[in-house]
Amino acid sequence: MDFLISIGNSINAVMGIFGSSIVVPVVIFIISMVVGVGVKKSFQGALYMGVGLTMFNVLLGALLGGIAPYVVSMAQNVGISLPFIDVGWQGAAVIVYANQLGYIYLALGLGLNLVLFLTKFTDTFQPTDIWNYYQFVFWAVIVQFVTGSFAIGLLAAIFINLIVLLIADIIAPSIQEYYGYEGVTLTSVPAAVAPFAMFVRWLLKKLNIKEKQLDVDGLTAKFGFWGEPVTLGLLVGLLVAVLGSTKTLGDVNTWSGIIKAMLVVAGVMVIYPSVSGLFVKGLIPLSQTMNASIRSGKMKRDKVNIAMDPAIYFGDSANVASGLILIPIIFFVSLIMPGNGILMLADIPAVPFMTIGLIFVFRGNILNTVVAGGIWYSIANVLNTEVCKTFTDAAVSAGVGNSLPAVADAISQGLGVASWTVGSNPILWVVYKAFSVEGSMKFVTIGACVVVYGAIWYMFKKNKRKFYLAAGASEEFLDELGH
Amino acid sequence: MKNSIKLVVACGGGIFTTTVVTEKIKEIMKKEKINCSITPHKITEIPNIVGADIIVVTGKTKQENKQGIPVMVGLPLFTGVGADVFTEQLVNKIREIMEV
Repeated sequence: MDFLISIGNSINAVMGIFGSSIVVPVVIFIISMVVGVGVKKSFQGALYMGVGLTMFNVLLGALLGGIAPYVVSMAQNVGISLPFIDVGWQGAAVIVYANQLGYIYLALGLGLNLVLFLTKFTDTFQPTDIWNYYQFVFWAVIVQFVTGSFAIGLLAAIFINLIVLLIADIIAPSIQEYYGYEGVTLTSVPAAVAPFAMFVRWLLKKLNIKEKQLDVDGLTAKFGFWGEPVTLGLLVGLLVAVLGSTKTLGDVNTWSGIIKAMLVVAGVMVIYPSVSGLFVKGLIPLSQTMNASIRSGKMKRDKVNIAMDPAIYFGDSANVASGLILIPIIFFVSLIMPGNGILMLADIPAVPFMTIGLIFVFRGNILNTVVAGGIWYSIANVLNTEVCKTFTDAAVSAGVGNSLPAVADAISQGLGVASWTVGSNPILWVVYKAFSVEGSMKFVTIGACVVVYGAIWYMFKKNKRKFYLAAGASEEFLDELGH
Repeated sequence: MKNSIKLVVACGGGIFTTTVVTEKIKEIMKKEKINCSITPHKITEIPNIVGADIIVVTGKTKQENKQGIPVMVGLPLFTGVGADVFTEQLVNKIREIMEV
């Protein structure tokens, strides 16, 4: 541990001089070289990552500069206070990987995942999903900032990783059957809702409620515009700017400002994916090399669940339909939900990602997915709001955007950033709370978490079949797999 | 007879798997000496895409294009499982489209 901290401290010193947009790509280059990606691809990946980090800062400045004044006056005018602007999963990725714990865990987590897989502690091979590590390390970074301790943050990251793997093991047969993909699973944040879906499914059976299937043919084509970033940007920009100018709507100048703000928000929404695409390129060679090594047979064994990016599960018709129906529901509830301070924005098009963890448990039932998803994610918004201030501190400390006057201005007015998808994880919120209790009480709360995890882990090892069935897999399919 | 082909690669967010599959298709097209342009899209945009010759999605979907542009499931290029078979199918399909 002391060794790790001293590495951390010396990296911090270097970080202070060069900044995260230089240090992070260098770290990625080194990890890529170590796992055998090759010089050219490693360098290209690292270069794109550096470019992506730099451009993200520019975009964040444009977004906050354009919308921050309206967010402030919206709270004063109509009392809707949403000071934390959703910068999306892309924003969370940049901020987590630009933090010490974030990039150090890329190497440590990769090692840990290989060990856990090779010792058969888990059947899930997570290194293929290395790009999505930030989604759970997010909570460890929050722990680190609240407690001020790198060591506790690191412990939290390891423990949270174990939870992620346990869920991935439990849901794997259900996913494989529903999607018809062999030997895959899900370790990214959409899986985090699956335990809740399993609970709802159990409850529906207990209460003997018959499942109803909605007929949604053609709905995706009609509601598709909810998934278009440019339209969403215009609509959210319009809403916030109008609510932020209710006192001066009669003035032509006000409308010129409103339209400009709409165009800025829509523009950022359109360009955002390209910038995060650059950032992603840094980790693609790494993920593909790990993919090749598990497929090549060197680590082959009977039961393997390879962790895959959620994009391959996205296109299921029932999933897209549920996601598109949920977008307006979750968004409008978030405006009036007491305790929510997040202005949903960059992650609105990502709502259909977050329904994946529900749809396979409910075997494609759209009504269940929409109702359960609406409840779960509205609660999640309130819990997520609680960590936004700390998340903003993490962003500033990693040097994201703090060189830009627009960002510094917004933060000084009490605004901040949020990531809707990555922060929508009530189970990991509980774990973060347990790790962040003050004083020695935290050993009791952390201990309690470990005991609960251990109990579920043990029950799962003893009754795997029951867990698989509860997650949605059928008897026949499990027989076929030999479980 | 066309001398180049317009491809669309689509996934959930138009980013991660799309980038991987796009790189793979570029390699294949280079090897087969076919001129191509590749644009990233999201699966939800598939019905309304215009002006492309073929759409490759990275995960299973039943989405169809209103103009009748063929949609192929290119998951094998992402995972590597069955990549050779898919590559052959893709190249055949593209040659077929180009000959029209």
